[in-house]
Amino acid sequence: MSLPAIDLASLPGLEAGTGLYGSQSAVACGMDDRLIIIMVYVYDANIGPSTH
Amino acid sequence: MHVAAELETLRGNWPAQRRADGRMEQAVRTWWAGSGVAGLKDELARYAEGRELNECPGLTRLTADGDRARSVCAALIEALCAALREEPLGQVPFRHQASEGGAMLQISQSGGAALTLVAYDGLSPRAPAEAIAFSDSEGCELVLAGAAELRVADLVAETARAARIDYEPRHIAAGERFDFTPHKARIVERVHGSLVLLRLARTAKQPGPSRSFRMADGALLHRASGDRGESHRELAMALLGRMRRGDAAPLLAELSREGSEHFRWQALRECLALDTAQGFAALARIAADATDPLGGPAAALRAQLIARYPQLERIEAEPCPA
Repeated sequence: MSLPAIDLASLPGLEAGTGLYGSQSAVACGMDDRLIIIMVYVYDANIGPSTH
Repeated sequence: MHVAAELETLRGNWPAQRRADGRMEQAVRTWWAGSGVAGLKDELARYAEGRELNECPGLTRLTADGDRARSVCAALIEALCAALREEPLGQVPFRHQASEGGAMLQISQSGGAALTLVAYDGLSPRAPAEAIAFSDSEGCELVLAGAAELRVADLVAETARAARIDYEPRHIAAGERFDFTPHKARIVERVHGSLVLLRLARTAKQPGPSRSFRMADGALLHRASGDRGESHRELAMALLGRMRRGDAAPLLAELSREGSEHFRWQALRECLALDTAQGFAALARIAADATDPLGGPAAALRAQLIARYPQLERIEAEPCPA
């Protein structure tokens, strides 16, 4: 059976959208008491994904 | 980008880098071995595990006695400054953050608990706050130095789109403490000179999302995951999706069964976009479960996809390829 490929952008999010940890709205930006943790992803084509 | 000549030189000099790092780490080790802080790391771990603060005598004393906390923190800063005088390009080995008007230095962290120094600079102009954020954490802030005008916010009631929040002003000065909970937060409105706080905080074991509300009318402005690990996994899922790693589809289908509703839904979306058959089977399973909080949205999406691609309906009648 041939199945269609579904585009991620066509799939709706939940009504109560949730941003990633540490994300802020434009209005709320600025110094507050949350320490923002930055996540960096390094991908090496030879050894697969890893995180730091 | 401008790179100072001293830094340029240091870049190529590994022994000098190691020496500077070693000197900074030694300063911190010596401080941890000193009086007033021995045992705090273990207590912080116990506090993270859920013990009450009064079951952690060292932390209790540190956060209740301004003079004691000031002397303990002053010893740390003096040790770091002494090390920096010897190694001006040394890296202070703490997680830190600095922005206009303030800075923070995380002295110690264990699980979801952390001890942090927070400084506010009263000289930088502060725009009036428009939003207040509540996160699934609790703890206290002891003023080590300076004074400020706070606005303390109490979250009285909350719906999916708004909250009722009571505010009251509070003047806070050296030696005084502000206790916060998931329903109590504060905004620093005005700093007199500067304000230095010692903050002890812990997040819930399975933290709910943090929410920002507009102060003027309580409208929800933003919701963010309170779970760092889950956001980490969400980014990893998105990466697998962008890499078109179809072999990750079974894992994504499995992840759509565990975690917060938001995380499960993202797993489902990524799974559907990577592998239609496996994603749709996972979607149909959730849609068929009346007890699943995602059952409603899953059933709606299932119906929407079948309307667009009628052949999908046949997947449910066939054995799952996974």
